[in-house]
Amino acid sequence: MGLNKNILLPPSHQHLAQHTYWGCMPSDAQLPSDDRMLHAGVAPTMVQLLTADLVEWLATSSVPATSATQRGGDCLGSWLARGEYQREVSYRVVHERRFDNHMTANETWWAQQQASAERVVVHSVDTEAEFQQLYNVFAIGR
Amino acid sequence: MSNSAVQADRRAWIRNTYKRYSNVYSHNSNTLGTILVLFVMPKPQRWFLHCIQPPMYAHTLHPPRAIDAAVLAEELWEHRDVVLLDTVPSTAEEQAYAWMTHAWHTYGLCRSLRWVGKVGLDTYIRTVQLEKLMRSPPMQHMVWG
Repeated sequence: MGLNKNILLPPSHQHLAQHTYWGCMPSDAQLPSDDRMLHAGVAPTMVQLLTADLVEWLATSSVPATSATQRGGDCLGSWLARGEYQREVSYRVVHERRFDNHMTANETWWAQQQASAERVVVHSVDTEAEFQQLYNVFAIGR
Repeated sequence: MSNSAVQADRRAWIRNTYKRYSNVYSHNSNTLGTILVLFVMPKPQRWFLHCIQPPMYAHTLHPPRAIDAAVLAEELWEHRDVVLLDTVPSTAEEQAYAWMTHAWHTYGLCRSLRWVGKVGLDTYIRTVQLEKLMRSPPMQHMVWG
């Protein structure tokens, strides 16, 4: 989560910033007063969102909170995906990642740890159109 | 979002920026919105509230700043957007777990609850775009992040 903060987009990729849905507050500069300031950076995986049914599952299951302290498990999605705690929930995990080789390597490690990786989808999403395409894959797979 | 009590400046920045977007609920302006942004933090330790520097930080270069209990209480009362958790999560996973559990027990009966999220204080959310995006994916069995 914190690995890819403060990634500065090179000028050649500035146009991609308009496709991001969240940005990163610069720690040593003035805070953005409007969306345009967000073009200074993106933070691909800084937002974690779960549908309400998964939140219910988390809150009512007996999964210990300390079960995902290994490196690479710092994303709640990967925690949910761990085989030993996997339930009969056909959840989807979408990772939005870009411009971050470290996270890509970490993702590879993470994928290797999954007991039943076929039930987990990890995908990089760069644009809303690509997300929609990915969503269609989800819909077909269900 | 998960943060410590001493980051009042960050919370103020957020209140003055993306918490003012039209789709974010605001207690102060009676804006209903569709997104509720809350600041989640563990209940401050006693030494924190009484502005006593804890011994373990006495020789560090950057000890955590203490806060005044009255200042924090005033912030809580004025904005009513801070959740104080009984637990003191130390890892990101524990923080997420504590928040999600609290969120479910607090808002789980709300029929309009669709998504629960967690972001850091240094994340600037473009809430209008985010809401538009999150209306597209399935509303069940979905993790984004």
